[in-house]
Amino acid sequence: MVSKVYIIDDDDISIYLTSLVLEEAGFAHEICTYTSADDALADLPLTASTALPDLILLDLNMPVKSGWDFLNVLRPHEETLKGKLDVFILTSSIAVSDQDQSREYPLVRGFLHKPLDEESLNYIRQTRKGLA
Amino acid sequence: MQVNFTPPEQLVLTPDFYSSIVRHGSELITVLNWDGQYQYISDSISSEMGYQPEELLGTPVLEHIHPDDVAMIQQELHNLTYGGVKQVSLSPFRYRAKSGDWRWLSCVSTNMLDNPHVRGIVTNSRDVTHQMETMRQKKESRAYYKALFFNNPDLVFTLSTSGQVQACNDAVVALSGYTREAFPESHFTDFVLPEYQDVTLSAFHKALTGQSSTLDTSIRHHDGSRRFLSATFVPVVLEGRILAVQCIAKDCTSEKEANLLVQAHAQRLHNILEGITEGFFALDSEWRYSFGNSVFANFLGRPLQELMNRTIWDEYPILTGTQFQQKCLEVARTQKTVQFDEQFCNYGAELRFTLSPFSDGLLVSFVDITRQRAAEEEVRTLSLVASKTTNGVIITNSRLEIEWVNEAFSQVTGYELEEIAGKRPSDILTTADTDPREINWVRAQLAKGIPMRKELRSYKKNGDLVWADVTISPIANEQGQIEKYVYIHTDITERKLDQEQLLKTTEHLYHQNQDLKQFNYIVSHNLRAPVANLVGLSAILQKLDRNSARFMQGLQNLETSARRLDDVISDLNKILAVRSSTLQVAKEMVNVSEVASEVISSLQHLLTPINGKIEIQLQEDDLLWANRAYVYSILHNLISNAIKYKSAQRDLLIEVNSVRKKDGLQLSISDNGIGMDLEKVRPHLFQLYKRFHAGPDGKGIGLYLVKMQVNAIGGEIEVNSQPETGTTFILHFKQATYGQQGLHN
Repeated sequence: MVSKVYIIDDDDISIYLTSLVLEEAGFAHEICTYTSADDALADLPLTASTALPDLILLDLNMPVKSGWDFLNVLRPHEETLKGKLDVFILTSSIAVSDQDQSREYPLVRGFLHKPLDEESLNYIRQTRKGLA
Repeated sequence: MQVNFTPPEQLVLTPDFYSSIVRHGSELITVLNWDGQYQYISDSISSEMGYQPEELLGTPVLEHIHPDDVAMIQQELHNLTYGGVKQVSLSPFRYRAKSGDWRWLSCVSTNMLDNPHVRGIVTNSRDVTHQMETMRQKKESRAYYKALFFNNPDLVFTLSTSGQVQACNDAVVALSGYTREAFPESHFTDFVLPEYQDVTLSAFHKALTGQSSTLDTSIRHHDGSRRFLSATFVPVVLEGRILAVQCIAKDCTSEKEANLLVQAHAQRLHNILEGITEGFFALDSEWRYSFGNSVFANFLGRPLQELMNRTIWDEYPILTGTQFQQKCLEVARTQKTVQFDEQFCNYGAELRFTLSPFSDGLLVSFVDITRQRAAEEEVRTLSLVASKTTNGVIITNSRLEIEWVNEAFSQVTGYELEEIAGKRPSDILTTADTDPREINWVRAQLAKGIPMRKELRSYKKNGDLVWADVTISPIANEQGQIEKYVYIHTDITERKLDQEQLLKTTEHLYHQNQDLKQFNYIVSHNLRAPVANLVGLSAILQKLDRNSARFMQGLQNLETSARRLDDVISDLNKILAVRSSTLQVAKEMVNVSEVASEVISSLQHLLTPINGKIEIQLQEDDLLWANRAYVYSILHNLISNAIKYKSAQRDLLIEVNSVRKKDGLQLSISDNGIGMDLEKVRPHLFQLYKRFHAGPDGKGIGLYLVKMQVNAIGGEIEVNSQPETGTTFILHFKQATYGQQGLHN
């Protein structure tokens, strides 16, 4: 069981739904939700490793700062964060180009299409164990 | 002969003895009396003169003496008789023999008048006729020699065996310009020109061996000029020994110079004949070759010597029956020059002949016009092509002035040659908007001989536009100077219009493609987002307790998601409606001021609570030829945005202005809201579903729609904005749109 999960998404209903699926599955001890990338970055302790989330579910299409912008902010810390923090893209996009672009970020471990379901959760689990 | 020899007796000196000696002695002894008459004559007179002594006795001596000598003898006798002179030797004089011949006598006369035994003048005479003859001959030959030597008009001089000039005549002095004194010091070769010294010296040496020889030589005159001589060296031999060398030379300078002149003339004539590029030969009256130049020899491929003096018809039987032969005969008959062309298949050549009569026969000059003919033929063919081709052709001179255009050019442009001859093609083929720098550049390239190809817009004579593909080729002569320019003018108007159409189509397709991409994006993100929520929610709802609060919230969210899906679909509907009507939107005269008032009143309920103000400064006649609904939508969207993004720091103030521009109408909608950082947002500002502010209010369709509608009624939109200061949208409507009002007022 994962200790801490961040959900970053500007769509309130999507946040509600994702949280609900995670809770129902008993996936995490703690779920933090953010409606903008900036809010999430403000909470993310980039210097102290203690309170880091294990997992971030990241939406791409957001105003002001997109999911890509968020990942770009983390770029300089990739070496430090790798292995401690796994990012999974959770988007309504079905564009292949987005999936291709996500491979350029080492922190991104997987690309998921909304809505989040049991199958997606299994994929996350297996990926994090190193099976996928 | 019988000689009776008796021994000598004692000599007895009797008068008979003396008389006998005198009478019979070989010497002639005479005695004259006072009067000069013979008193005595010895017998030898008969052998000497043929007289018998008796014939002469008593005759005066002077009768027998040559009249020329009489005076002299008379004087001598007078001297002897009365002058007291005893004896005189008389100079030789002539005495008439009985035969009538004159004999020369040398006499010694002694006055013995006082001698009683003699009583007369005794004269001993010797016949010296032979000596005198010899002497005379000697004198004569000397006179001859003198005459020959000194008075000779030719140059005569004597050289010692060592080559010194011993004597020379006046002619030498006159011709050489040197004085006689200059010669004895000099060797004769000093006067000979260096190039003649060897031959001259060898002739001299030949003379020393006893052989005469004649040669041409040349000496230098005292003044430095040259003289040509024809000289003969002759040995002077005496008793088998060479005493000297006599040289007789004739001045042949003028002859030689004339010769040289003739030679030079001949050479010059030869050079001229060789220099002319025409083939040239002469035939004598017997049709024999008498001259030919090298062009002629080269043409035949034979050396000239081989042909000289041979008859042309024998050498070239092939000429028999040709026009050439006929013309030769004709010229020989008429003595008139003719010119004609004839083709010789055997030589693969066509020749242009000129036959001219001259005193010794016939002169033939000819030019090989094979190439010229071929070139003429080519020119004829080419000009046929040029005049009949469907491409326009212009030929200009080196100053780019039109000299010729073909029919096709006249057909395409409507210009006839007469009206454009002398003009520059650029005057016709370019338009006012052609950049003069470009024209100059083209001319500079052409002047360098670089061919050009350009697509040009030009006008026909009737003003219609012609798109032409123009190729300009400079034509240089053999010296590399540009003589002409050839323009090939191809009418590509149709192609060009097709091209323009194609460009438009491409542009249109590009935009459609962009739209499709945008649409795909909408499907991907904005349409799918609510759908994904609906799917997720309906799945989870099944697992939840229907009476729980979570179930109720889920149900509520399900409804919200469904509504959002509906919103997106209605947005798409609007977009599609505008886009499909872009090409033929229904337009009417729209009063901007009226529409703005309507928009404000519809938004008043939002303005009042926030204490917002709108200042409108529009003219009553701010009219647009446009779709009224679009104008409404545009203003509604922009003012709504201003309200939506008002600053929390100050009360909202919106200003709507119009400015009349020369080229149309400009509307501006300004606010004092939160503004935007255009550096960041400008690339996405008018794109669909791009939002720049967090929060639920914006959907990212408003500005996209505004831009589409502005474009649909022929306007452009731009934006100025400063964060925390405000935003201004400026709408430009071009004259074409704005100007329509004139038609309706």
